[in-house]
Amino acid sequence: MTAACFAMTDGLDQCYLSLLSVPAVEELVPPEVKRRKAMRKLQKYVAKHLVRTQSPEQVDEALDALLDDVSYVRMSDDVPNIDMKQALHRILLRSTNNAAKRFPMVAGVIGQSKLEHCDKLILESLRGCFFILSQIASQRPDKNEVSKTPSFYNGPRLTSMPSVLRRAIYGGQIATVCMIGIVEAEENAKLRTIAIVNRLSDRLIEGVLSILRLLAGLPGTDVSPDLVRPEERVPFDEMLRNDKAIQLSYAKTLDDAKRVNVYPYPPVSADD
Amino acid sequence: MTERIAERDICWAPLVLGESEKVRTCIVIGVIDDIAIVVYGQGRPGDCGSILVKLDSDLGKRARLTKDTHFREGNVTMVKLSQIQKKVGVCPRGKFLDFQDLAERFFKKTNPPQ
Repeated sequence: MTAACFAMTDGLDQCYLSLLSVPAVEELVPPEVKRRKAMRKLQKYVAKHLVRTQSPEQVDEALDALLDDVSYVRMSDDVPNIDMKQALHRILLRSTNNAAKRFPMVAGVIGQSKLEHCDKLILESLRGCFFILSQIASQRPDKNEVSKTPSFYNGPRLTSMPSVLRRAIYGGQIATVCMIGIVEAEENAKLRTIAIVNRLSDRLIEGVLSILRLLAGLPGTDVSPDLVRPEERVPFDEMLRNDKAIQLSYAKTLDDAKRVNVYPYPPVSADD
Repeated sequence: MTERIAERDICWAPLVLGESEKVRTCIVIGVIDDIAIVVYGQGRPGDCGSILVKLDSDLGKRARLTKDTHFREGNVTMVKLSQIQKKVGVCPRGKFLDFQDLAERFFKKTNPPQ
């Protein structure tokens, strides 16, 4: 479970990569100012990709392509690290839920209530992220140990983590790009089309919700039922049990296939 | 083929299905040693749920599919890396999550949890 939390906070770190570009410059401490400068470079790069899009489908394709783009990944890596726990603490203390005031141009395109909903979700997930970071800070092994244990279980694995966790991390990555895009859209009129900003906010909501559903299932978290209903929460232990069963099944299938040297080709109909 | 095959790659591989061999488009779900776990595509979906990849979709463009192709739960198999003929593209991340889920459902059904 701890390993899963580490993986999740890694994803959350990425999700909040763009966060510090939101507050006004005068509110930032020096390391955050440095980070903000790097973020602005990233903003311009994201804008270059998004500005060509004209439909929600094209926005989706651009978002996915950005995650695979070497320059984007390199620029993200170049954003200086800060003490995430400390930064979150400050952000949560000063949060005022005034997204519409900070982003009046974007609010004009997608509506104040939708923008405020985005803000509410982001703040709620930040609270969850802060909780996790507080819980596991003292348990975190040194860096070498983390890199040696990328999986939850030993032995051959089909994938590196449970599906729900993968979706949450992907959701976090997409939410990051969307957040960068929305921040840029406030300043860049070319990005302020309904097709782009609406889709960015939809994907941001979807991405942050995938994180919140997971966070809400963790013991000790306090996610508002207004945002994630009880039936939408991911039971964490069940998720890990389910993943272990899949991995065991996978290992057994692989062993069986190797033993008889025949792979499990399923039957195919004649008209295929 | 000398190109390195990794998770998310889209490849062509000759699969012996029933009595006939046919080169099929495969999405690589994972690689262990010299074996790739793949979901292969087919023209008709059959009677269970499948992911339809259309020619004009992003994945279709990247994979150079020759027709609309369905990837279904029952189409998970394993191929030796040496069997893979050609790498034709990389599956976008968002779509790949659906393929991973599909493969997981297959393995869950093959050996249900006790």
